Amino acid sequence: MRKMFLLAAKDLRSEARAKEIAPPMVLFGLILVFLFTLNFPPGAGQAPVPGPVVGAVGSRELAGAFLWVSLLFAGILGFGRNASTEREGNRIEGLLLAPVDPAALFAGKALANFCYLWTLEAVLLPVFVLFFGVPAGLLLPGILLVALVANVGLAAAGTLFGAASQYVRARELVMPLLLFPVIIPLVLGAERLTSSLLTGGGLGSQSRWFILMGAFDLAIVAIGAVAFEFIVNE
Amino acid sequence: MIEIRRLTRRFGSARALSGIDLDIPTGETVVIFGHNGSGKTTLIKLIAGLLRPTSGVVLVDGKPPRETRGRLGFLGHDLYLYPHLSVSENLVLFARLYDVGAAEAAEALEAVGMSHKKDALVHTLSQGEGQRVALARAVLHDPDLLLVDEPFSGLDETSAAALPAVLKREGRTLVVATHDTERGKAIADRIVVLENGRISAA
Repeated sequence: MRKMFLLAAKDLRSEARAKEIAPPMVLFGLILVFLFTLNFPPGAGQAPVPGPVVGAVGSRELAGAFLWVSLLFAGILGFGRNASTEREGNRIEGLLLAPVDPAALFAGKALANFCYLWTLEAVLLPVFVLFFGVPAGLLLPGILLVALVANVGLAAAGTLFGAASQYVRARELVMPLLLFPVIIPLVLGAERLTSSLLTGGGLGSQSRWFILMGAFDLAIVAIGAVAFEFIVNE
Repeated sequence: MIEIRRLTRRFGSARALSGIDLDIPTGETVVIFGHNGSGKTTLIKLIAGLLRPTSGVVLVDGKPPRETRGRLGFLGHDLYLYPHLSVSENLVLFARLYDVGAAEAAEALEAVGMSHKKDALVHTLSQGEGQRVALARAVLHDPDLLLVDEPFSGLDETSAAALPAVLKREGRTLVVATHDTERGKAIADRIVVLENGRISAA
Protein backbone atom coordinates (compact mmCIF):
# COMPACT_ATOMS: atom_id res chain seq x y z
CA MET A 1 0.00 0.00 0.00
CA ARG A 2 2.80 2.42 0.98
CA LYS A 3 4.67 1.67 -2.24
CA MET A 4 1.51 2.19 -4.28
CA PHE A 5 1.19 5.73 -2.87
CA LEU A 6 4.93 6.33 -3.42
CA LEU A 7 4.61 5.41 -7.09
CA ALA A 8 1.47 7.47 -7.61
CA ALA A 9 3.08 10.46 -5.87
CA LYS A 10 6.10 10.06 -8.13
CA ASP A 11 3.88 10.30 -11.22
CA LEU A 12 1.87 13.25 -9.91
CA ARG A 13 4.95 15.19 -8.80
CA SER A 14 6.60 14.61 -12.18
CA GLU A 15 3.45 15.75 -13.93
CA ALA A 16 3.14 18.86 -11.77
CA ARG A 17 6.49 19.94 -13.25
CA ALA A 18 6.38 18.47 -16.75
CA LYS A 19 2.71 19.25 -17.52
CA GLU A 20 2.72 16.61 -20.24
CA ILE A 21 -0.47 14.75 -19.31
CA ALA A 22 -3.22 16.82 -17.68
CA PRO A 23 -3.07 19.94 -19.90
CA PRO A 24 -3.38 18.01 -23.20
CA MET A 25 -6.18 15.88 -21.70
CA VAL A 26 -8.11 18.93 -20.56
CA LEU A 27 -7.54 20.83 -23.78
CA PHE A 28 -8.67 17.88 -25.91
CA GLY A 29 -11.71 17.38 -23.68
CA LEU A 30 -12.65 21.04 -24.04
CA ILE A 31 -12.31 20.83 -27.81
CA LEU A 32 -14.59 17.78 -27.90
CA VAL A 33 -17.23 19.42 -25.71
CA PHE A 34 -17.06 22.49 -27.92
CA LEU A 35 -17.45 20.40 -31.09
CA PHE A 36 -20.41 18.54 -29.62
CA THR A 37 -21.94 21.87 -28.64
CA LEU A 38 -21.68 23.08 -32.23
CA ASN A 39 -23.67 20.07 -33.37
CA PHE A 40 -26.24 20.28 -30.62
CA PRO A 41 -29.71 21.27 -31.89
CA PRO A 42 -30.12 25.01 -31.27
CA GLY A 43 -32.06 25.73 -28.13
CA ALA A 44 -32.33 22.11 -27.13
CA GLY A 45 -30.99 21.16 -23.71
CA GLN A 46 -30.83 24.77 -22.71
CA ALA A 47 -33.93 24.84 -20.60
CA PRO A 48 -33.29 27.25 -17.75
CA VAL A 49 -35.16 25.22 -15.17
CA PRO A 50 -34.79 21.63 -14.07
CA GLY A 51 -37.32 18.97 -14.86
CA PRO A 52 -38.64 17.33 -18.01
CA VAL A 53 -38.82 19.77 -20.88
CA VAL A 54 -40.80 18.85 -24.00
CA GLY A 55 -38.51 18.66 -26.98
CA ALA A 56 -35.35 18.86 -24.93
CA VAL A 57 -35.42 15.56 -23.11
CA GLY A 58 -33.87 13.67 -26.01
CA SER A 59 -31.11 16.24 -26.27
CA ARG A 60 -30.33 15.99 -22.59
CA GLU A 61 -30.02 12.24 -22.91
CA LEU A 62 -27.56 12.82 -25.73
CA ALA A 63 -25.69 15.30 -23.58
CA GLY A 64 -24.82 12.50 -21.16
CA ALA A 65 -23.32 10.51 -24.01
CA PHE A 66 -21.39 13.55 -25.23
CA LEU A 67 -19.96 14.08 -21.76
CA TRP A 68 -18.70 10.53 -21.37
CA VAL A 69 -17.38 10.27 -24.92
CA SER A 70 -15.44 13.49 -24.32
CA LEU A 71 -14.08 12.23 -21.00
CA LEU A 72 -13.15 8.89 -22.47
CA PHE A 73 -11.35 10.25 -25.53
CA ALA A 74 -9.49 12.84 -23.49
CA GLY A 75 -8.71 10.25 -20.82
CA ILE A 76 -7.06 7.96 -23.34
CA LEU A 77 -4.46 10.62 -24.08
CA GLY A 78 -3.50 10.61 -20.43
CA PHE A 79 -3.47 6.82 -20.04
CA GLY A 80 -1.10 6.42 -22.97
CA ARG A 81 1.24 9.17 -21.85
CA ASN A 82 1.31 7.93 -18.25
CA ALA A 83 2.23 4.44 -19.42
CA SER A 84 4.91 5.72 -21.76
CA THR A 85 6.81 7.43 -18.90
CA GLU A 86 7.89 3.96 -17.75
CA ARG A 87 8.68 2.69 -21.26
CA GLU A 88 10.91 5.65 -22.10
CA GLY A 89 14.41 4.97 -20.89
CA ASN A 90 13.24 1.49 -19.86
CA ARG A 91 12.32 2.95 -16.46
CA ILE A 92 9.95 0.07 -15.87
CA GLU A 93 13.05 -2.13 -15.52
CA GLY A 94 14.23 0.01 -12.62
CA LEU A 95 10.90 -0.56 -10.88
CA LEU A 96 10.85 -4.27 -11.69
CA LEU A 97 14.29 -4.68 -10.14
CA ALA A 98 13.08 -3.22 -6.86
CA PRO A 99 11.31 -5.43 -4.32
CA VAL A 100 7.88 -4.11 -5.24
CA ASP A 101 4.83 -6.28 -5.78
CA PRO A 102 3.77 -5.81 -9.43
CA ALA A 103 0.23 -5.32 -8.15
CA ALA A 104 1.51 -2.23 -6.30
CA LEU A 105 3.10 -1.00 -9.54
CA PHE A 106 -0.26 -1.40 -11.26
CA ALA A 107 -2.16 0.25 -8.41
CA GLY A 108 0.28 3.18 -8.29
CA LYS A 109 -0.08 3.88 -12.00
CA ALA A 110 -3.88 3.42 -11.78
CA LEU A 111 -4.09 5.83 -8.84
CA ALA A 112 -2.24 8.47 -10.85
CA ASN A 113 -4.64 7.94 -13.78
CA PHE A 114 -7.55 8.19 -11.34
CA CYS A 115 -6.27 11.62 -10.25
CA TYR A 116 -5.84 12.74 -13.88
CA LEU A 117 -9.46 11.80 -14.59
CA TRP A 118 -10.71 13.87 -11.64
CA THR A 119 -8.60 16.80 -12.86
CA LEU A 120 -10.16 16.45 -16.29
CA GLU A 121 -13.66 16.27 -14.84
CA ALA A 122 -13.07 19.23 -12.54
CA VAL A 123 -12.63 21.37 -15.67
CA LEU A 124 -14.96 19.61 -18.09
CA LEU A 125 -18.06 19.31 -15.90
CA PRO A 126 -18.51 23.06 -15.30
CA VAL A 127 -17.84 23.74 -19.00
CA PHE A 128 -20.32 21.04 -19.93
CA VAL A 129 -22.95 22.60 -17.65
CA LEU A 130 -22.25 26.00 -19.20
CA PHE A 131 -22.11 24.97 -22.86
CA PHE A 132 -25.07 22.60 -22.76
CA GLY A 133 -27.18 24.84 -20.54
CA VAL A 134 -27.68 21.98 -18.14
CA PRO A 135 -28.93 23.07 -14.70
CA ALA A 136 -26.09 22.23 -12.32
CA GLY A 137 -28.60 21.26 -9.64
CA LEU A 138 -29.71 18.33 -11.77
CA LEU A 139 -26.19 16.96 -12.05
CA LEU A 140 -24.77 17.50 -8.58
CA PRO A 141 -24.06 15.59 -6.44
CA GLY A 142 -25.20 12.53 -8.41
CA ILE A 143 -22.64 13.04 -11.17
CA LEU A 144 -19.81 12.92 -8.61
CA LEU A 145 -20.96 9.49 -7.50
CA VAL A 146 -21.25 8.31 -11.10
CA ALA A 147 -17.80 9.72 -11.89
CA LEU A 148 -16.29 8.07 -8.81
CA VAL A 149 -17.50 4.62 -9.84
CA ALA A 150 -16.63 5.20 -13.52
CA ASN A 151 -13.17 6.63 -12.77
CA VAL A 152 -12.09 3.55 -10.82
CA GLY A 153 -12.80 1.27 -13.77
CA LEU A 154 -11.51 3.69 -16.40
CA ALA A 155 -8.27 4.28 -14.54
CA ALA A 156 -7.68 0.56 -13.97
CA ALA A 157 -8.52 -0.41 -17.56
CA GLY A 158 -6.51 2.54 -18.92
CA THR A 159 -3.50 1.52 -16.86
CA LEU A 160 -3.73 -2.11 -17.92
CA PHE A 161 -4.20 -1.51 -21.64
CA GLY A 162 -1.91 1.52 -21.61
CA ALA A 163 0.87 -0.75 -20.37
CA ALA A 164 -0.05 -3.55 -22.78
CA SER A 165 0.05 -1.24 -25.78
CA GLN A 166 3.51 0.11 -24.94
CA TYR A 167 5.27 -3.00 -26.11
CA VAL A 168 3.75 -3.32 -29.57
CA ARG A 169 4.14 -1.37 -32.77
CA ALA A 170 1.56 1.36 -33.53
CA ARG A 171 0.81 1.61 -29.84
CA GLU A 172 -1.36 4.73 -30.31
CA LEU A 173 -3.70 2.68 -32.47
CA VAL A 174 -3.60 -0.47 -30.41
CA MET A 175 -4.59 1.09 -27.11
CA PRO A 176 -8.08 2.30 -28.08
CA LEU A 177 -8.67 -0.92 -30.00
CA LEU A 178 -7.95 -2.89 -26.82
CA LEU A 179 -9.59 -0.51 -24.39
CA PHE A 180 -12.87 0.53 -26.03
CA PRO A 181 -14.52 -2.89 -26.37
CA VAL A 182 -13.66 -3.77 -22.79
CA ILE A 183 -15.04 -0.62 -21.17
CA ILE A 184 -18.38 -0.64 -22.99
CA PRO A 185 -20.31 -1.71 -19.85
CA LEU A 186 -18.68 1.04 -17.81
CA VAL A 187 -19.27 3.85 -20.31
CA LEU A 188 -22.79 2.64 -21.03
CA GLY A 189 -23.59 2.63 -17.33
CA ALA A 190 -22.08 6.08 -16.78
CA GLU A 191 -23.96 7.48 -19.77
CA ARG A 192 -27.31 6.00 -18.69
CA LEU A 193 -26.90 7.26 -15.13
CA THR A 194 -25.89 10.73 -16.34
CA SER A 195 -28.86 10.83 -18.72
CA SER A 196 -31.15 9.84 -15.86
CA LEU A 197 -29.76 12.72 -13.81
CA LEU A 198 -30.16 15.16 -16.69
CA THR A 199 -33.77 14.17 -17.33
CA GLY A 200 -34.72 14.50 -13.68
CA GLY A 201 -34.96 10.76 -13.10
CA GLY A 202 -32.30 10.72 -10.38
CA LEU A 203 -30.23 7.66 -9.51
CA GLY A 204 -32.61 5.85 -7.21
CA SER A 205 -34.23 3.80 -9.96
CA GLN A 206 -30.93 3.03 -11.70
CA SER A 207 -29.25 0.76 -9.19
CA ARG A 208 -28.69 -1.99 -11.77
CA TRP A 209 -26.25 0.27 -13.62
CA PHE A 210 -24.33 0.94 -10.43
CA ILE A 211 -24.15 -2.79 -9.78
CA LEU A 212 -22.88 -3.39 -13.32
CA MET A 213 -20.25 -0.66 -13.02
CA GLY A 214 -19.19 -1.78 -9.55
CA ALA A 215 -18.80 -5.36 -10.75
CA PHE A 216 -16.75 -4.12 -13.71
CA ASP A 217 -14.53 -2.10 -11.36
CA LEU A 218 -13.85 -5.11 -9.14
CA ALA A 219 -13.13 -7.36 -12.11
CA ILE A 220 -10.78 -4.98 -13.94
CA VAL A 221 -8.86 -4.06 -10.77
CA ALA A 222 -8.39 -7.76 -9.96
CA ILE A 223 -7.37 -8.61 -13.53
CA GLY A 224 -4.99 -5.66 -13.66
CA ALA A 225 -3.32 -6.54 -10.37
CA VAL A 226 -2.66 -10.08 -11.58
CA ALA A 227 -1.93 -9.45 -15.26
CA PHE A 228 0.29 -6.36 -14.95
CA GLU A 229 3.35 -8.41 -14.05
CA PHE A 230 3.06 -10.51 -17.19
CA ILE A 231 2.50 -7.46 -19.37
CA VAL A 232 5.47 -5.41 -18.21
CA ASN A 233 7.96 -8.24 -17.84
CA GLU A 234 9.87 -8.47 -21.13
CA MET B 1 26.96 -17.58 -5.75
CA ILE B 2 25.77 -17.22 -9.33
CA GLU B 3 25.30 -20.42 -11.31
CA ILE B 4 24.73 -20.24 -15.04
CA ARG B 5 24.06 -23.46 -16.93
CA ARG B 6 23.73 -23.97 -20.69
CA LEU B 7 22.30 -20.48 -21.01
CA THR B 8 20.97 -19.53 -24.41
CA ARG B 9 19.04 -16.46 -25.38
CA ARG B 10 17.54 -15.67 -28.78
CA PHE B 11 15.87 -12.50 -30.03
CA GLY B 12 13.71 -13.77 -32.86
CA SER B 13 16.03 -15.71 -35.11
CA ALA B 14 19.15 -13.97 -33.77
CA ARG B 15 21.10 -15.86 -31.13
CA ALA B 16 22.55 -13.42 -28.57
CA LEU B 17 23.97 -16.01 -26.19
CA SER B 18 24.69 -19.66 -26.76
CA GLY B 19 25.39 -22.39 -24.21
CA ILE B 20 26.94 -20.23 -21.48
CA ASP B 21 28.25 -22.10 -18.41
CA LEU B 22 29.66 -19.92 -15.66
CA ASP B 23 29.98 -19.97 -11.86
CA ILE B 24 30.66 -16.78 -9.95
CA PRO B 25 31.43 -17.34 -6.26
CA THR B 26 30.12 -14.91 -3.65
CA GLY B 27 32.41 -11.92 -3.20
CA GLU B 28 34.19 -12.30 -6.53
CA THR B 29 34.56 -9.50 -9.08
CA VAL B 30 34.12 -10.80 -12.60
CA VAL B 31 34.70 -8.54 -15.55
CA ILE B 32 33.12 -9.53 -18.86
CA PHE B 33 34.94 -8.26 -21.92
CA GLY B 34 33.59 -8.35 -25.43
CA HIS B 35 33.03 -6.28 -28.52
CA ASN B 36 29.72 -4.62 -29.28
CA GLY B 37 27.10 -7.29 -29.93
CA SER B 38 29.07 -10.02 -28.18
CA GLY B 39 26.24 -10.60 -25.67
CA LYS B 40 27.53 -8.76 -22.58
CA THR B 41 24.38 -6.75 -21.95
CA THR B 42 22.14 -9.75 -22.59
CA LEU B 43 24.12 -11.81 -20.08
CA ILE B 44 23.97 -9.09 -17.44
CA LYS B 45 20.22 -8.65 -17.94
CA LEU B 46 19.66 -12.42 -17.72
CA ILE B 47 21.55 -12.51 -14.41
CA ALA B 48 19.40 -9.58 -13.19
CA GLY B 49 16.22 -11.39 -14.21
CA LEU B 50 15.25 -8.62 -16.64
CA LEU B 51 15.31 -11.12 -19.50
CA ARG B 52 14.17 -14.72 -19.47
CA PRO B 53 16.45 -17.39 -20.90
CA THR B 54 15.39 -19.09 -24.11
CA SER B 55 16.91 -22.18 -22.54
CA GLY B 56 19.23 -22.93 -19.69
CA VAL B 57 19.15 -21.57 -16.17
CA VAL B 58 20.49 -18.72 -14.05
CA LEU B 59 20.46 -19.11 -10.27
CA VAL B 60 21.50 -16.56 -7.66
CA ASP B 61 22.14 -18.28 -4.33
CA GLY B 62 20.11 -21.21 -5.65
CA LYS B 63 17.09 -19.10 -6.59
CA PRO B 64 15.83 -17.50 -9.81
CA PRO B 65 17.09 -13.89 -9.99
CA ARG B 66 13.58 -12.43 -9.66
CA GLU B 67 13.34 -13.92 -6.17
CA THR B 68 16.46 -12.09 -5.01
CA ARG B 69 15.55 -8.62 -6.31
CA GLY B 70 15.98 -6.75 -3.03
CA ARG B 71 19.63 -7.86 -2.75
CA LEU B 72 20.57 -7.02 -6.30
CA GLY B 73 21.85 -3.74 -7.69
CA PHE B 74 21.86 -2.96 -11.41
CA LEU B 75 23.36 -0.21 -13.51
CA GLY B 76 22.73 -0.55 -17.20
CA HIS B 77 22.78 1.69 -20.26
CA ASP B 78 19.54 3.30 -19.08
CA LEU B 79 19.61 5.43 -15.97
CA TYR B 80 16.12 4.48 -14.67
CA LEU B 81 15.75 8.02 -13.34
CA TYR B 82 12.74 10.32 -13.71
CA PRO B 83 13.77 13.50 -15.57
CA HIS B 84 11.32 15.87 -13.88
CA LEU B 85 12.18 14.77 -10.35
CA SER B 86 15.23 16.10 -8.58
CA VAL B 87 18.27 13.93 -7.93
CA SER B 88 17.30 13.67 -4.29
CA GLU B 89 13.63 12.88 -5.04
CA ASN B 90 14.70 10.09 -7.40
CA LEU B 91 17.03 8.52 -4.88
CA VAL B 92 14.61 8.81 -1.96
CA LEU B 93 11.92 7.19 -4.12
CA PHE B 94 14.18 4.21 -4.85
CA ALA B 95 15.40 4.09 -1.24
CA ARG B 96 11.81 3.69 -0.07
CA LEU B 97 11.06 1.13 -2.75
CA TYR B 98 14.06 -0.83 -1.43
CA ASP B 99 12.88 -0.34 2.16
CA VAL B 100 15.85 1.78 3.19
CA GLY B 101 15.81 5.38 4.41
CA ALA B 102 16.60 8.78 2.98
CA ALA B 103 19.90 8.73 4.91
CA GLU B 104 21.13 5.81 2.79
CA ALA B 105 20.15 7.72 -0.35
CA ALA B 106 22.14 10.74 0.84
CA GLU B 107 25.14 8.51 1.64
CA ALA B 108 25.07 6.97 -1.81
CA LEU B 109 24.89 10.40 -3.39
CA GLU B 110 27.84 11.51 -1.30
CA ALA B 111 29.80 8.42 -2.35
CA VAL B 112 29.45 9.31 -6.03
CA GLY B 113 30.31 12.95 -5.37
CA MET B 114 26.97 14.36 -6.43
CA SER B 115 25.63 15.82 -3.19
CA HIS B 116 25.98 19.33 -4.54
CA LYS B 117 23.43 18.46 -7.25
CA LYS B 118 20.82 16.93 -4.97
CA ASP B 119 18.20 19.57 -5.79
CA ALA B 120 18.85 19.61 -9.54
CA LEU B 121 16.22 18.10 -11.80
CA VAL B 122 17.61 15.02 -13.52
CA HIS B 123 16.91 16.34 -17.02
CA THR B 124 19.32 19.20 -16.35
CA LEU B 125 22.27 16.89 -15.60
CA SER B 126 25.05 16.07 -18.03
CA GLN B 127 25.47 12.47 -19.22
CA GLY B 128 28.29 11.81 -16.77
CA GLU B 129 26.39 13.35 -13.86
CA GLY B 130 23.33 11.28 -14.72
CA GLN B 131 25.52 8.17 -14.81
CA ARG B 132 26.85 8.91 -11.34
CA VAL B 133 23.37 9.47 -9.92
CA ALA B 134 22.26 6.21 -11.53
CA LEU B 135 25.19 4.51 -9.81
CA ALA B 136 24.00 5.94 -6.49
CA ARG B 137 20.54 4.53 -7.28
CA ALA B 138 22.07 1.12 -7.93
CA VAL B 139 24.03 0.93 -4.66
CA LEU B 140 21.89 2.86 -2.16
CA HIS B 141 20.49 -0.37 -0.68
CA ASP B 142 24.01 -1.82 -0.34
CA PRO B 143 23.35 -4.84 -2.60
CA ASP B 144 25.15 -8.16 -2.15
CA LEU B 145 25.20 -8.60 -5.92
CA LEU B 146 25.97 -5.65 -8.17
CA LEU B 147 25.64 -5.90 -11.95
CA VAL B 148 27.00 -3.03 -14.00
CA ASP B 149 27.08 -2.60 -17.74
CA GLU B 150 29.67 -0.24 -19.23
CA PRO B 151 30.05 1.78 -16.03
CA PHE B 152 33.02 3.80 -17.31
CA SER B 153 31.32 5.18 -20.39
CA GLY B 154 30.38 8.84 -20.15
CA LEU B 155 32.54 9.43 -17.07
CA ASP B 156 35.48 11.82 -16.95
CA GLU B 157 38.90 10.56 -15.80
CA THR B 158 38.39 11.59 -12.16
CA SER B 159 34.96 10.00 -11.87
CA ALA B 160 36.11 6.81 -13.63
CA ALA B 161 39.10 6.52 -11.29
CA ALA B 162 36.83 6.87 -8.25
CA LEU B 163 34.34 4.28 -9.53
CA PRO B 164 35.93 1.06 -8.18
CA ALA B 165 35.67 2.36 -4.61
CA VAL B 166 31.91 2.73 -5.03
CA LEU B 167 31.40 -0.57 -6.87
CA LYS B 168 33.52 -2.87 -4.71
CA ARG B 169 33.04 -3.78 -1.09
CA GLU B 170 33.96 -6.77 1.05
CA GLY B 171 31.65 -9.72 0.38
CA ARG B 172 29.89 -8.16 -2.59
CA THR B 173 29.69 -10.10 -5.82
CA LEU B 174 30.39 -7.73 -8.66
CA VAL B 175 29.83 -8.41 -12.35
CA VAL B 176 31.03 -5.72 -14.73
CA ALA B 177 30.50 -5.77 -18.47
CA THR B 178 32.82 -3.44 -20.33
CA HIS B 179 35.02 -3.05 -23.37
CA ASP B 180 37.41 -0.82 -21.42
CA THR B 181 40.12 -3.46 -20.97
CA GLU B 182 42.52 -1.33 -18.94
CA ARG B 183 40.01 -0.27 -16.28
CA GLY B 184 38.28 -3.64 -16.34
CA LYS B 185 41.52 -5.54 -15.64
CA ALA B 186 42.30 -3.18 -12.76
CA ILE B 187 39.22 -4.25 -10.78
CA ALA B 188 38.83 -7.87 -11.92
CA ASP B 189 39.39 -10.97 -9.82
CA ARG B 190 38.53 -12.94 -12.94
CA ILE B 191 38.02 -12.07 -16.57
CA VAL B 192 35.49 -13.62 -18.94
CA VAL B 193 35.64 -12.89 -22.65
CA LEU B 194 32.49 -13.14 -24.72
CA GLU B 195 32.64 -13.52 -28.47
CA ASN B 196 29.57 -13.95 -30.66
CA GLY B 197 27.48 -15.03 -27.69
CA ARG B 198 29.93 -17.66 -26.43
CA ILE B 199 32.59 -17.63 -23.75
CA SER B 200 35.90 -17.66 -25.58
CA ALA B 201 38.13 -17.29 -22.53
CA ALA B 202 37.56 -17.45 -18.77
